[in-house]
Amino acid sequence: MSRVYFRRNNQVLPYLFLTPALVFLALFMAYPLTETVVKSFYAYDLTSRVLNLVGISNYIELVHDPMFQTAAKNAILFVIFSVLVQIPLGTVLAAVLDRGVTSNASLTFRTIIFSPLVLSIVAVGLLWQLILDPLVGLASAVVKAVGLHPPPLGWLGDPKIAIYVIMAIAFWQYIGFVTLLMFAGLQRIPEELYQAATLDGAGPITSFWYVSLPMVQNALIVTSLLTMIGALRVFDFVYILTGGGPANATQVPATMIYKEAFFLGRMGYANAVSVLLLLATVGLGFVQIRFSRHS
Amino acid sequence: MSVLIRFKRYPAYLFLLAYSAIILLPLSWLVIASVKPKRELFTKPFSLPSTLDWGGYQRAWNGGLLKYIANSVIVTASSVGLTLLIGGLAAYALAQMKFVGRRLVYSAIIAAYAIPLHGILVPLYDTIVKYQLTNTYFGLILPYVTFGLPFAITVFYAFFIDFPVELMEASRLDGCSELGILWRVVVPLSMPAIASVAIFQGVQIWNEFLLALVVISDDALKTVPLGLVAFRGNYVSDWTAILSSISVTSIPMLILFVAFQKQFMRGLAGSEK
Repeated sequence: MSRVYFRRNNQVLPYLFLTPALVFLALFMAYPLTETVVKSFYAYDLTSRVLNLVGISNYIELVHDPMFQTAAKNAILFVIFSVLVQIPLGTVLAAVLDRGVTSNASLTFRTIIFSPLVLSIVAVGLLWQLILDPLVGLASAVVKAVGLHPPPLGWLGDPKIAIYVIMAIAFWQYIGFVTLLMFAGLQRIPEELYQAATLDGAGPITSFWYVSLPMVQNALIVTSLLTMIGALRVFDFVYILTGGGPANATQVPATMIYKEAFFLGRMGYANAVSVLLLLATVGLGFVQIRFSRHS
Repeated sequence: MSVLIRFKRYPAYLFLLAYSAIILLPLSWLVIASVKPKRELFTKPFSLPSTLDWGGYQRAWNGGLLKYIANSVIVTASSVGLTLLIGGLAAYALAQMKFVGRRLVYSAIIAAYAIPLHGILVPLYDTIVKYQLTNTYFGLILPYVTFGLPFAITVFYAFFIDFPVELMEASRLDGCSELGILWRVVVPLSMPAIASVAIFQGVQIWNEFLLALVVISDDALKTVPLGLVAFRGNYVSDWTAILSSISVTSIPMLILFVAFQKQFMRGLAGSEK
């Protein structure tokens, strides 16, 4: 039996229902998307409407641009560390919440662990900026209190460590997202599997490794994909905490797009960065789809 | 036996307590420091305030915090409302009606899910300029609705596809119009999906920063995240005012989260059931 309802005189209605959504998507998504790709081959600025066709020279310039090299490197670091830190820690938290504690305790801890997710990145960034203030911030006070020295250039002022400090703050806010998705996956595993494992003499760690993990493989893949795409798109944390500095050391693709377009007025060049960012996102998606088919 | 199990569980509790401390300490510092007298903030970083000083909240309030909150409420409520309406109609057509091009439209909408705002920022800004929507609420609302639609439609689609056809048929026999069925039958049954979409989109839009940053420059129209950044600029050395503005805009979200945590968790996980 078909689930789909069909009535002859009603052929117009579905299109009528779809029109508003399609108009929105066409005007504010499909059209700008096409423009991004097309205009990445042009040079133009914010005010004048003059378009100069420059072919692939935006892309050639990007490859040699130290700012883009830094932005690309930081994006890759962000993606790698997001997966290496957030996925294992978030998954272990989810597993402990799922089976390690009573359900009341689990609910309380979940409330705490998920709570940063509803805060704005701007609020979280500003809060941490004050905590990390090199002169009078809490972090430096803590480090001094235990007899160590805070970094002489400041937590966010040292180009060597600033990007890692930004990552740590991003992870502080978003590990709960991994936990949330993995917890939902773990909750769907039938209790009998754990009972069988316990009868075979499996302890909690063995159960986690041989029962939980294999059963949530798909959730792990989806969560990793979302985490990686999120890491590629980072903007707010960097903009608030360092503005891309010191000396462009913490630029990421999104802050570079913003800077090139709205400060330097190089819209075409910014579009080229956007296109590469889009391609990276789509590429990650394909890798993940292939990966999930093979496993 | 039960003692043994309890003993074995200590590491689990210790782990969760340690992690919770990492989350809660900065948030507690935020609240405590916001009511500390200014001198003590720097001279006694670890102590509790000797007296409660609400001056920071007063200065934040006088700095126009209410205006930013009102703007965020207007933009978020309108965007979420429109997303629910437009996304709901589209998903209903896709899930419950048969027409030429159905699969194509559905695939296109799924594909749209993959496109981030950052990836099309410059031409999106050009589009907003073209329609003279910079420094207007609609300059934010229309793009927010657009970027919320793929999520809303996929969630509603998954929900509507399971609706029994008989239910709709019965209402049709009673002389209900399609819109009447939507309003009287579909909407009341779809409350869990509506809550998920509304919460997920609501949190996203309330906190959105990048588009607001390029579309809104008029202080009278700034949303909360832009307002917080403006405060940072205006109150450079007045930490208590900055901390107060962060806490006064964050704590309502945390209270809402605790009050509606079941719906929030469902919504944030992006699931419909």
